Amino acid sequence: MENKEILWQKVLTEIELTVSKANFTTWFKDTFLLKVEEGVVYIGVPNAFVKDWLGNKYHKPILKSLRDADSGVRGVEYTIVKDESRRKIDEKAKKEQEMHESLPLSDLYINKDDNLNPRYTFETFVIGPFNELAHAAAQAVITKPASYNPLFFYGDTGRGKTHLLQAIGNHIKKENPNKKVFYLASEKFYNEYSQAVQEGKISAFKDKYKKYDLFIMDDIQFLAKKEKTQEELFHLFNDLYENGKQIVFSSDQHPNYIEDLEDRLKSRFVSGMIVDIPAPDYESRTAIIKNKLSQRKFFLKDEAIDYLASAVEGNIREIEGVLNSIVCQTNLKGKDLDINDIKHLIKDTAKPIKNISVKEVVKVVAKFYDIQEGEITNKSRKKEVVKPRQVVMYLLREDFSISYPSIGQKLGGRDHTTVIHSCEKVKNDLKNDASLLQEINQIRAMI
Amino acid sequence: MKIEIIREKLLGAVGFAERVAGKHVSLPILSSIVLDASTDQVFVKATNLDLGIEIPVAGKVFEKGSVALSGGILKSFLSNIGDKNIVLEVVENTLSVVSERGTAKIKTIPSDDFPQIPQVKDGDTFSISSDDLSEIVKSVGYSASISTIKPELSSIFIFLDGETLVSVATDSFRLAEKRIKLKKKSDLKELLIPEKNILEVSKVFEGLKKDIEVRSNKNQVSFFADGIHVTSRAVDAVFPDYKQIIPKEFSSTCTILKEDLAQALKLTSAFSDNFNQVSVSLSASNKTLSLKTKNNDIGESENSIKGSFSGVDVSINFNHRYIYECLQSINTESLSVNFAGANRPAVIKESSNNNTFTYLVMPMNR
Repeated sequence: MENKEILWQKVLTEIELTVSKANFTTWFKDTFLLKVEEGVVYIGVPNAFVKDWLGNKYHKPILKSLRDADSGVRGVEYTIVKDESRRKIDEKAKKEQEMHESLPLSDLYINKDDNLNPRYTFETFVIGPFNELAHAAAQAVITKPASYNPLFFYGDTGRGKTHLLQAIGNHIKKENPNKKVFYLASEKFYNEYSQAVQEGKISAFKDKYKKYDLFIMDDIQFLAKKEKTQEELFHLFNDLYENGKQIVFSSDQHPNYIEDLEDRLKSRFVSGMIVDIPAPDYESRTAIIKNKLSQRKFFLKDEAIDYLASAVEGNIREIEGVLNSIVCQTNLKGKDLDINDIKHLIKDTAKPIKNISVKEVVKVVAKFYDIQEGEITNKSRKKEVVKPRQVVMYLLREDFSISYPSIGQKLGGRDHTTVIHSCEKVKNDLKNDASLLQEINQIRAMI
Repeated sequence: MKIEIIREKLLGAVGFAERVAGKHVSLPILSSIVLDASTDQVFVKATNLDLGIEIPVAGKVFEKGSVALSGGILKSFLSNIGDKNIVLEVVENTLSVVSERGTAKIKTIPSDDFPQIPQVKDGDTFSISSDDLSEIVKSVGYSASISTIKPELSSIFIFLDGETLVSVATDSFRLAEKRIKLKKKSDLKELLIPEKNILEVSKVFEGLKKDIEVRSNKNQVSFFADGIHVTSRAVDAVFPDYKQIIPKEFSSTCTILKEDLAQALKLTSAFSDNFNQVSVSLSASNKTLSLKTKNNDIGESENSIKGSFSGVDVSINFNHRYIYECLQSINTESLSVNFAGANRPAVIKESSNNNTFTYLVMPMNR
């Protein structure tokens, strides 16, 4: 049907001629043509009263006018729909309301059918060098579902994994309203599973998840040690995968390093595409801060933004928290904060330059590799000692910028060239050895 | 149409119908009420296309028919004649009302254009006593938003948690939740009813002392009891997942008498400023909760309440109206006020082991 609006407009014009103005505005003002399918015209109406009344009283003239305009029309159906035009005005008023202190409800509008929070979209997703790849992978899955299956994102907390996951869901839902999308955190999956076991409704549980076209599970690491749930996920995965349904996962680390996760699950996770979301770089942080400020309709001087971007590292959630407290303080004081105020405000959040003794690093590394502390500083050249020793040197150099000679001196009076060689070796090994990177990151976390 | 009817019963029905009839509508039929005697039963009907009502009235039908007229006129006439039985007859375009003491002739309009009142045929059902329905409206209704900008916030949200019917309303500055145990099993999923509609519904059934059957789908909800049918638009929107904002751990708690708090709020409110601000300070060491208000033009006042206290000292500003309003929902003599920190909402509950009411109020920041 070439033009739905024109068709319905014709019908309305005809009906307007035959009924009184009051009748017309009451019953026809908020109606519109939803769709035409196989000769049946679907009319959207605002409520049940209008639906019944059009169906009983005006059905014949509506059908007649429709047929006059298009002979292919066979029937008319009336459907109650939400009035979208009214919604748009709401947005404006909503902003005014947000000036007052209110319960943080706006974050809690979660769609019951798919668990998605409509707030997370690609429009609000800041793309920087650090998450370019992740964003590209997400776009690939959107344009061509199941091109990377499963798609697996990993990265530390506060890097935007959940945002990206939900944005994929929201986007696919918007583009294809018929697709069944479902998002959930792995913990919820576990809870539902154990409840289903208790109530003896396992088969209902299984069927529930099989029907989705896009299945998104967040924070997979929480399934560690939950063997039965993992088994259930394994079967669900196979089922969805075989039917060509897109699956997206996220976790805080590479699936191979999630402890107590069954190997058959791990091998399935790595069979698709795995994307690391590293910490945002300085430029990205600046972009994120600017974006968040414009969302809040708040203004900060460039020097303040620069300072924040350099002082708050890593976690986007921390950036958000800092901005919140700046906005709050500014409102409270009724004047703009200067750079010193901001420094004072974020003194707890800004990354402190750690003072750590060489001894402590040695202790942590020795503990991690389960060797004696003394072995690191002595002359032993056993293989199981050499590697930890090199790791200690690498860490001291990279993370704490201690000079090569002083590292050598403190680790049993070694030559600085030995230290340089060790650091270079670890650096080179890191390029092709993911497990070493994982180890070093774990040690870093322990320090 | 010609009917004979008991005045008092008709008056009651006309009273409710008249309240439902539309006030500012372009279609005259929607601001009228309809007397429908097209069967052997007499019905009084009205609708404003948001809310619809059909009430049966016992009476004798001599001649079938139906007619629409102004509910207000009929109501004021009926309430001021003292007779028991009256006869209503339509002669051409007027309804003549004949009683022993007097007669009236009221202009009518044809009832052909009166819309059908939709009944929810199949959908989720549950049954609730009229008292419980009134209790829900009384307990949470005032927390719903007055503005209809966000339809879900100007509604009462009702859902089932096991065998407990939970009703919630919030205008985003405070939130009230009431839990009522249901006697019968039900398959309700969730339901959003505009607050002003459910208020009218509860008034219709108030004092009936009967179970009301509620049937709902995502667009419409119908209430049935004693032959009466009231239907309202249901709001097809998502209610925020409010449980996440109720603090679970508290830094300080106090238990005080409801009467004391009401008294103190009344006293201090006289001195409150334009923002209705009252500053509440809890001091665990002095075992007092003190309420302070200050208005630069009038003066200031302070009031303290004794009770049992635990936790750290805290001082927060609130809108005193928001606290005062929740007192009507508290059915125990004492209540507990729980604080989770200076910028977090405070939680007020009934002080009893089987508490059914939770109230969340946001602090003011000025």
